[in-house]
Amino acid sequence: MRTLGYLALALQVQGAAAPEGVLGGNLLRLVFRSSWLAQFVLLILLLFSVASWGIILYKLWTFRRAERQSTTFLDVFRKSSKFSEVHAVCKTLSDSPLVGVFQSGYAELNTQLRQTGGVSVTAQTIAPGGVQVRPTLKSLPAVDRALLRASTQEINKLEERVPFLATTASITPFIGLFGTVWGIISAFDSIGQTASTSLAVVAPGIAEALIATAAGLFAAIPAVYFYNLLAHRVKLFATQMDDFSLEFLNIAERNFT
Amino acid sequence: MEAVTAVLVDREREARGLSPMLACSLALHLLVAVAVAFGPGRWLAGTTTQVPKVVMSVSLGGGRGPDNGGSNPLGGRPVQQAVPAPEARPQPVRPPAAKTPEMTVPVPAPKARTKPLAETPRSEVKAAPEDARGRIPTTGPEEKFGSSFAETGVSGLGLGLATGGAGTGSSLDVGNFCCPDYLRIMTRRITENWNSRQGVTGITVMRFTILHDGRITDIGVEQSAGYVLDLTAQRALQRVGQLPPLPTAYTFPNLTVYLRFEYQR
Repeated sequence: MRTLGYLALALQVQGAAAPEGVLGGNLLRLVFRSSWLAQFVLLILLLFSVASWGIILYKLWTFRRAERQSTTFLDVFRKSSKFSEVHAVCKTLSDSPLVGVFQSGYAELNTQLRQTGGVSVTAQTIAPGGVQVRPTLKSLPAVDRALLRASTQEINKLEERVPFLATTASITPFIGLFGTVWGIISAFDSIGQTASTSLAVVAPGIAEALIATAAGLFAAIPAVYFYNLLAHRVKLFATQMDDFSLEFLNIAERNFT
Repeated sequence: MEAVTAVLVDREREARGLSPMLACSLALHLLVAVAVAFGPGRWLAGTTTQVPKVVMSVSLGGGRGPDNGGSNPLGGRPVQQAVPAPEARPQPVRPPAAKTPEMTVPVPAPKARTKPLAETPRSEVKAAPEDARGRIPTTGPEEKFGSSFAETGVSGLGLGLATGGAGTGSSLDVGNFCCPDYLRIMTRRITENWNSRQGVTGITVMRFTILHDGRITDIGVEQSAGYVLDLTAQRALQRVGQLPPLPTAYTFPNLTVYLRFEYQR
């Protein structure tokens, strides 16, 4: 039998059709190549992501300012002996929710004292020491109600737009999943048309389709995290306001009844 | 309006800053998109993005395996390996035997004094028939195969895939190429047209492209081993000229092959 020479063979798949890695820098090309529905899904997800990150940054920034100003405000409130002094500071610390509560309570106090004694609270001292004419409050529960109204409003203000994060967190995975399922449907359709089950036919369609799920998760994960974080901080603000309301009521009861 | 309500209404307006933050977020997303699109691929995908160029390598060492009708690895084992016939060793020149003197008394041959051995009973154990024993193949001038081929009906790849049998020393790494059967046809057609014995050793690597309809184009020398050997390899490819069309399972428009011709003396 003839002995063959040694023969070795190497094949190379060639040309532009060579499967390049999806993540090898041409993710965008893959996106532009995909169907209009997939692009639409990705656009919606992008909008959700942009909006939720905008809200996240905005809320973090607002809460940071609110916390700082609340600390300053509490400092001023506890050190000063007159409500009028505290009220003067309020304009510079308007981002703190406590300021809203205080202003509301202060307005109610002022109204009641004017009606009863004709003397404004601005002339009164918190400390009972130097009081000449002791003004009295008509109704302490009314002050309480005013504080409660303000506190509710402040909480609403703090919570504003945070539910959008919860919406993003729950909706975007589904939107992404929808895009993926649609993409896989069309991938299988193309398998049927070409009558070929080779990976080279199936894989690009599926890779394209999976981008939508990835984008959905990309939008959802930060939204979940920051929603929980922000909700927790709103709760902290709420307890702080409750605490402040009680403190305010105590002082009012001590001095004006 | 009541004083408290006035305060509440005043407080109701929202602090500004949402739109700048939205713009900031948009910029952030654009930045991420640009980084993903134009950044190095290994940020996201590690180092595995490099597609290995060689998807298949075949070597045909030793004898050629059966092209089809797959042989049972044991049954198809060669019983005799091909070894070049040893050169006849020159016999030493012997001097002619000395003539015996004619007039001598013949010496009677000494009688055998050994006693005949007692008859030993034969062993009851029967040895396996000679054919059934696995043995190291003998060597001889040509290759011979065992007698117990088993027709399995399986079509071998003809590239020495039946490694247990005839194709000793062959190896095949199909990689992720879809259709090794096509390669069998291709290599057979090329080796039929190739004269591997040029009297010198050397390795020529040729590069060519098979179009979708099976034509061989772009024949070029990738690694030269001298003019004659290159020319022989090139002629083998040119003589083949037309191969069967590429299989439908192979979806790319054409196939580039690096083929290694190894000449043996």
